[in-house]
Amino acid sequence: MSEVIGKWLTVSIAIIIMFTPILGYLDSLHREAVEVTLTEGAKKAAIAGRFTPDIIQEMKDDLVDHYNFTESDIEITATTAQTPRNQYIEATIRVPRGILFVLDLFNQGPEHIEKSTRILSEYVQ
Amino acid sequence: MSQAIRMFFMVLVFAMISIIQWNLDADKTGTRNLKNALELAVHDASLALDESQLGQGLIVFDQVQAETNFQNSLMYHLNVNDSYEPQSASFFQDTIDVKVLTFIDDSTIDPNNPSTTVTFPYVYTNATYDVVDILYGPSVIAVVETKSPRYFSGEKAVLRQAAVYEYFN
Repeated sequence: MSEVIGKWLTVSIAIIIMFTPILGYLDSLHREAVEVTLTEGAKKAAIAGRFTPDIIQEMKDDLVDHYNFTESDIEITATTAQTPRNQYIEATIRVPRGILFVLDLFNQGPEHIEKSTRILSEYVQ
Repeated sequence: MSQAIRMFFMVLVFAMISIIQWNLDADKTGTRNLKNALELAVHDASLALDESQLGQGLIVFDQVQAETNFQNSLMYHLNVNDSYEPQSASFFQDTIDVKVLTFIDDSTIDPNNPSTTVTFPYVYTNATYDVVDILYGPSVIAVVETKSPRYFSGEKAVLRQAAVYEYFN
């Protein structure tokens, strides 16, 4: 009996050990994708003076096409009102976060990746 | 017993691989955070212009305001306080050192010819940090440095990033 329990424990921990480094790496890459997309979007928005629907759509397309996120899961809140020069434009991207452990035995951490940015507008009327 | 020993070694190997991986990941994430934050910070700094000079067709930075913009941007993106020390929510653990924050504009004295101001294109060089860049217009140059916020102790790697934001003439 003890051997059976031991085997099952070994197997379950072995499975978790096999996948966790890769899943952790994936989580880190997802964060990177969100951060880079947001920063590049912010640079474009600074010139336009706001996050235009085009820029927001472009950020979503980038996350969907290149990083395999589902479009309906991506929440982007951004300054869409025209902002004069030297005032801040802000944006936040929130996407669901994947798992870290294949078997749900440990704390998986937060359920979302959320990243905010802020940049001064360059727009001159 | 054999199961227990096997398990022990597996967990040991896992822990070792994890330490290496998470540490490298911290280096990479830290470098990226620093670069992205710095690019936005030099952008914000470059927007502070001296309006009176602008009327005469000269782009001259209002350096006090520019430094404030630069600081505010880094404070927001890296979660640091006004002396660049990390707050509790920050990804970083060590103070962010602003090593270089240089403004090259239409009022900067040419170091090779001290009686005149610089003309663009201008080759900016900084031997200390190995920065060489051809500037086509007034620019803000910044170099920041910090230690990598590694999860597991050991010698901390130094992360250093440079960014230039220029007005294209």
